Amino acid sequence: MSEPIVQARDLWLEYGGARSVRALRGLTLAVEAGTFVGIMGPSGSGKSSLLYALAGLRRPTRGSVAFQGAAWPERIAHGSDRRRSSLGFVFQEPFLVAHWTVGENIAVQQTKPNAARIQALAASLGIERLLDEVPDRLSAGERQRASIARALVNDPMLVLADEPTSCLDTDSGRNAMSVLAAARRKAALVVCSHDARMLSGADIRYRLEDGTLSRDD
Amino acid sequence: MRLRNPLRPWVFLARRPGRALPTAFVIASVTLLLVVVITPGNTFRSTLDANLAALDVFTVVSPARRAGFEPALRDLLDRNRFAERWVPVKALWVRYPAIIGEGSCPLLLARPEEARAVLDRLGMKLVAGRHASGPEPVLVLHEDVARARGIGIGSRVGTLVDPDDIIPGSFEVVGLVRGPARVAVGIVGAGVLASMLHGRLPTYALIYPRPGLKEKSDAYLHAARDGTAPAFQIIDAAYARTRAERALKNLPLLVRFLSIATACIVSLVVMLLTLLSFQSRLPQFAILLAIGQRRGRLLRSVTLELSMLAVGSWLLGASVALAGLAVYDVVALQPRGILIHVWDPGAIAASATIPVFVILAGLAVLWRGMAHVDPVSIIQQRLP
Ligand SMILES: Nc1ncnc2c1ncn2[C@@H]1O[C@H](COP(=O)(O)OP(=O)(O)OP(=O)(O)O)[C@@H](O)[C@H]1O
Ligand SMILES: [Mg+2]
Repeated sequence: MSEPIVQARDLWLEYGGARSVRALRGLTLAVEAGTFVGIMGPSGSGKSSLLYALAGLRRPTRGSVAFQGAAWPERIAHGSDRRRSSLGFVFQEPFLVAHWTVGENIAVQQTKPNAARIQALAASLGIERLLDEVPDRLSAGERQRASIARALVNDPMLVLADEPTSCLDTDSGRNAMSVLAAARRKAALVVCSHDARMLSGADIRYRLEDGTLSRDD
Repeated sequence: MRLRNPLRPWVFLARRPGRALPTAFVIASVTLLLVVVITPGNTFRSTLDANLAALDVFTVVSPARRAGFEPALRDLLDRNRFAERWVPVKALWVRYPAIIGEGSCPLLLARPEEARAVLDRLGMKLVAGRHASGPEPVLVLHEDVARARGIGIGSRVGTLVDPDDIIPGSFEVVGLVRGPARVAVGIVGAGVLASMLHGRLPTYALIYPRPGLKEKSDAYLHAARDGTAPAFQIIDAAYARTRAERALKNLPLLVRFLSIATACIVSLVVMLLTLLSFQSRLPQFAILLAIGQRRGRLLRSVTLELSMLAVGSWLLGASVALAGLAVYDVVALQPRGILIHVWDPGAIAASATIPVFVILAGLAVLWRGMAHVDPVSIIQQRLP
C-alpha cells in the first residue's frame, strides 16, 4: 500500500464562543493518490470543517493532519508552506478576485505560466468564452466552474472540493464532477456534497454524521 | 486570452483608480504644500551668495593701521606673487530691502576703465543705460538691486537725496547690469563733490588674483605684516559668509521640523486610508492566501503597488509645486528683486520624506493585517 497523500488521525475540531460546537469528533481518514473519496452529509454536519482541517486552514483541537507525510505548520493560513501550491481547494462559495479577469483568477494559481493548460481546462468546464470577462458579469455557476479550474490548474497532489456543484444544474454538475474525477490520475481527490448523485463516481464514499465518518456502501 | 501575471503591481491601480485616488491626492497636495513652504526659505542663502559673489572673484583690503596705502604697503601688495595686479578703489555697501530686513551688496568706486574691468571680470552684462564715465559721480547697479530699491536709470542715491542712505553725496544711476554677482560700480568724478567724497570715503585696494590662486593670494594678504601686526584688514567673503550663516543657523531647524511634522501627519492620514483600502481588500487577500498563494508574493505585489502610488503622487505634487513657484517667481518675486532658487534640492529632499513615511506606514498596516487575517473566517462571512 502506498503512502497516503493526506491523513487525519483522531481529528477533533471544536468551535468556541457562546455556543460551543464539536464539528469533528475523533475522525480518522487517509486518502491515497489516485483515489476519489466522496463525503456526504447533511447541512451542518461538518463537511466544510473537515476540508479546512485537511487543508491546514483550521487547526484541529485534538489529533493531527499530515499532508505528504508531514503535519501542517501552525500558521498555515499565513502562507509560507511551499506544499500549499500542490493543494487545490474548491470553496463552497466561489470567490474570485473582482478586478481580475476569470483567466487571471485561474492563472494566479499556476507556478509556471501555461496558457494552453488554462484554455483546455476552461474548455472542459465550458467557460472558455469567459476567460477575458470580469467575475461580476458571471453567473454563480460560471463562477463556480472558474473556481474549479483554479483549483486544478496547477496539477495539485490533493484536490479538496466543498459542494463544487451546488450552483450547477445536473448536466453541468456531472460534467464538472467528471473533470474533477479526471484529476485523480495524478492526485488524491476529496469531494463533499449533500447530493449523492454527484458522488456516484467516487471510489470510496463516506457519510459524515455527528462529526464522525462511516463507510457508505 | 493573454496570459499575464495578475499580481503585477499596477493592475489594481489601473483597474480601480478611484480607490487609489484619495491616497494619491493627500500625498500630492501635502508634497506641494511642503515644497512651496520650504523653497522660498532659500532666498536668504541665495541673496547672500549673490551679494558675496564679487568677493569670491577678487579680494578687497584696507590698511589695518595706516590712513592710506603708503609705500611700504604698496610694496607688500606688489610683491604678492599670487596676484595679477591691484587697483586702489573706494568701497561701500549698497543696502536694499530683502524678503526680511535688508541685504547689502558691494559698491566699488574706481576710475572709469577700472569700474568696467570689475564688471568684465565678474561676467556682468550691461542691460540698460551706459557704463560709468564723465565728470559727475555716477554708478552702474545690478538690475535686481535697482528693482528691490525701486529705482532705475536717472534715479539718484546717496545721503544728499536720502539721509538714511549710507552712500555719501549723490550718485546718479546711469546703467543696469545683469549677472551672477549683485554689485555696483561707479566713479567719483571730478566735480565739486569729488573732493568731498575722496575725503570721506575710506580707501581700499582691489586685488585681482591669478587664475586659481585666490586662496594663496588671500593667505599672503592675511600673513602680510606691518611691523609685527597684520598689515591689512581684509573684506573677506568667508568672514561675511560665516557671520551671515550664523544668523541663518536656525533656519534649517524650522524647515526640518516642518517637513518631519508634515510627513508624520500625512503618514497617519495615509495609514488610515491604507487601512481602509486594505480592509476592503482583505477578503481578496484572504482568498488568495486560502488557495495557497504565498504571503511574501502578495506583500511584494502590494508593496510595489503602494510604492508606485506614493512615488507617483509625490512626483506629481512636486512638479505642480515647482511650476507654481516658477510662476510666482516671475510674477511676484523677480519684479521686487527678491532672489529665490525655484529648484531647491533641499526642499525636494525634505518632501521626499512623505512618500518614504507613507510607504513605511502603509507597509506596517499591510504586514500587520496580513499576519492576523484568518482566511476561513472571511470565507465563512461570505464576503465576495
Ligand atoms: N466559525 C465557526 N464558529 C462556530 N461554529 C461554527 C463555525 N463554523 C462552523 N460552525 C459550526 O460547525 C458545524 C459544522 O459546520 P460546517 O460548515 O462544517 O458544516 P457543513 O457540513 O459544511 O454544512 P453545509 O452543508 O451547510 O455547508 C455547524 O454546526 C456550524 O454551525
Ligand atoms: Mg459547508
